[in-house]
Amino acid sequence: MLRLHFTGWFQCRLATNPDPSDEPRGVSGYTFAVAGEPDLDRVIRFHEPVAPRSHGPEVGVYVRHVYFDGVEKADHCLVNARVDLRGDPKFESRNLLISEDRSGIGIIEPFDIHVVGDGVEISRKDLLYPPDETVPTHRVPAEFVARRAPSRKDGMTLDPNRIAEATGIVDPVRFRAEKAEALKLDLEAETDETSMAALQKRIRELRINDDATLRVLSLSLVQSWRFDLNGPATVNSKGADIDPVDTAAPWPIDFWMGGWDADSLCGFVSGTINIPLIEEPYRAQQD
Amino acid sequence: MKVERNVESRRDLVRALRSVAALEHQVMCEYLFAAFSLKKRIGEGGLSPLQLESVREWQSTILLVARQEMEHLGIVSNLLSAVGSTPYFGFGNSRPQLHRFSTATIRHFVEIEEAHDPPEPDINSSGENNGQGESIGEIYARIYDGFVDLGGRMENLFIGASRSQIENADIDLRPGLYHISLKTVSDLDSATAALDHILGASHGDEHAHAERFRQILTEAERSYKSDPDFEPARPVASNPCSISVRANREDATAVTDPVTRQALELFNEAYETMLLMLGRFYSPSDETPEERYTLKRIVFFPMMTMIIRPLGELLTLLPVRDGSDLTAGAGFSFSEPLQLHPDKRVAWLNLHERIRNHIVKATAVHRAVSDRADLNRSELGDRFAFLVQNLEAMSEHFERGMNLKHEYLQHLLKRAF
Repeated sequence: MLRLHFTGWFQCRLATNPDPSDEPRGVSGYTFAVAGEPDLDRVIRFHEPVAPRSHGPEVGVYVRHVYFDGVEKADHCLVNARVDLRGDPKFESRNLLISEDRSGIGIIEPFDIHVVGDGVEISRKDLLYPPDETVPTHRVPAEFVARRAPSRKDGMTLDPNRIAEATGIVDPVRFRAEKAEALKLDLEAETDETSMAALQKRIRELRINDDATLRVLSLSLVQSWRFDLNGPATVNSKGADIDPVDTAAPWPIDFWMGGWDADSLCGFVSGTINIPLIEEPYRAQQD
Repeated sequence: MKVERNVESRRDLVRALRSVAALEHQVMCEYLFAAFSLKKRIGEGGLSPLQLESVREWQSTILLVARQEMEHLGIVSNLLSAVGSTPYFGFGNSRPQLHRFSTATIRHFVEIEEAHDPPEPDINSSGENNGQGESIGEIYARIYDGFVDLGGRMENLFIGASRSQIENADIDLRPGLYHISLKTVSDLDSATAALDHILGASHGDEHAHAERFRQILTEAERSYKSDPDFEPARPVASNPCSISVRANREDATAVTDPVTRQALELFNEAYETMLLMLGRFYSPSDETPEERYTLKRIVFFPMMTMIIRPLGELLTLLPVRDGSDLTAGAGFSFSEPLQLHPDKRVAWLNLHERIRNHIVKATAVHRAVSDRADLNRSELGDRFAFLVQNLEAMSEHFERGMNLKHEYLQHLLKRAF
């Protein structure tokens, strides 16, 4: 078994309750497209963020550790491999219309994970509705959606220790207050009206810093997923030394997302893809 | 403070509660209409980036106040249920006055909120009240005094079951989230606490509403004065109506553009469906837990947030008639009485048919919007497509949750044999 452990910051420019899921600019929730930015598009980006904000984290998700049958391989060609979710994936809850989990996060769809390392490219799609992958998300029967739903159905988990360990954000209130001060300095030096409007909005939001508000709490909340990747897999390993991958068997994946920074519209992801390898005796037979 | 026409019986109390329910519903619609009319993008013209941020704050504030009026309507519904009546989601004898955002509109909103404080009675020398009609504050004062009086002398004032009421846990909201706090009413203490919440223990909450609107008014007036090109609202016509409804209203704007008229009808019909569902949720009979969960799952966040609000905003981008600069808005028009058949099977079939009809109409609007060059904006097409998808998902959940597939199969079999 090849196990890839990946982590990093992702960006997701989405509206939040009580705004509708397709609210383009953000009004009543705690996330917004500020002046000069394009509309909120709900896309989860592991790389190449759109309109990244100042004083935000560096967006990028990479393989950090590789394990072969439980033993870490620090020099494996997939260490530091870039991890992507292709196809413009979105969190699909739509206020309980797609997924019944009360966290409001829902499923990630499409889920097409792509890992590119040194001479190696591995990808696998998970089919939400295997009998017919052309069926749109909102028509997929509930039992299939449930397979992809978050692990916790009644809400998110408050886990500040896990977030602190992963991101270094130990004190969310202080984190937001310090960012507000930094933006205030930027504003004092700014002369462009659009940039000023954007900074003022961000500062105003950051100053809502009561630790019971979602703006602050979300920095300590975590949601997790666990399912088996079941769709077509691709492995290109030109020149790289990796063992033959079993592309027919399911690939279990489990990951958590959290530490949501409402100002930078970024969250942290950490997870593991388990990739079964073709058994030695079978390989010998094939040879 | 006592005013004339005291509440002296359960019947008087119910009538007064239904009056304030109608008023709270009307003002909520007026606030939503004005909020929906506000611009969202620099490209709409009439706004600088800094002004647009102010406009977003105003929209957020007005929507917040509207949510709190919804909360008030919910509290009044709980009070009605507690004394053995049913909720009232109609408009009574008057209708909301739907106007786009302007300083005149906001000034009117300030007056509405200030009217939550009962004024000093205008009593003439014969001791009769010279008042023209009751303000909402006066009605609330009568209700409060009525509860205290009746609660003190009637042993069985609170005869309604709490299962016919809604509290935050019932809609999966922690208390205070989105500024909504709903609690059940079962006795005099909880009834007066509910009324205190609406009025504010020291009238603080209502002053907060009035103060919020005064703040918006001050900022808007300042913006208009300093910038002659300032225009925060879309050119939304007042009281938009389809032709048949307009026949009864002189102050209405007839919507004749075929696509807009269809979208307006869709809004009104969906709004009516939502009210019917709410009424049923507040008046359960023999629903199973799954049926009740299905109603809850559809009528609150999905219906209100994913259908009503987007449609209300999209209407402000559609023309009232060919060649007109004026755009439409949410109609908030529905038929009274709002009543479903008491047999739940009939009620579920009726509601499901309504949702299916909404899908047909929304699909037609989406296609028409995509075909019209003058309406060819990506936001319109994308958001109507999303609306259709969400209605389809809603229909599927309702059908499954209410076990209607079984029902439809039985009908098919009956027809076949």
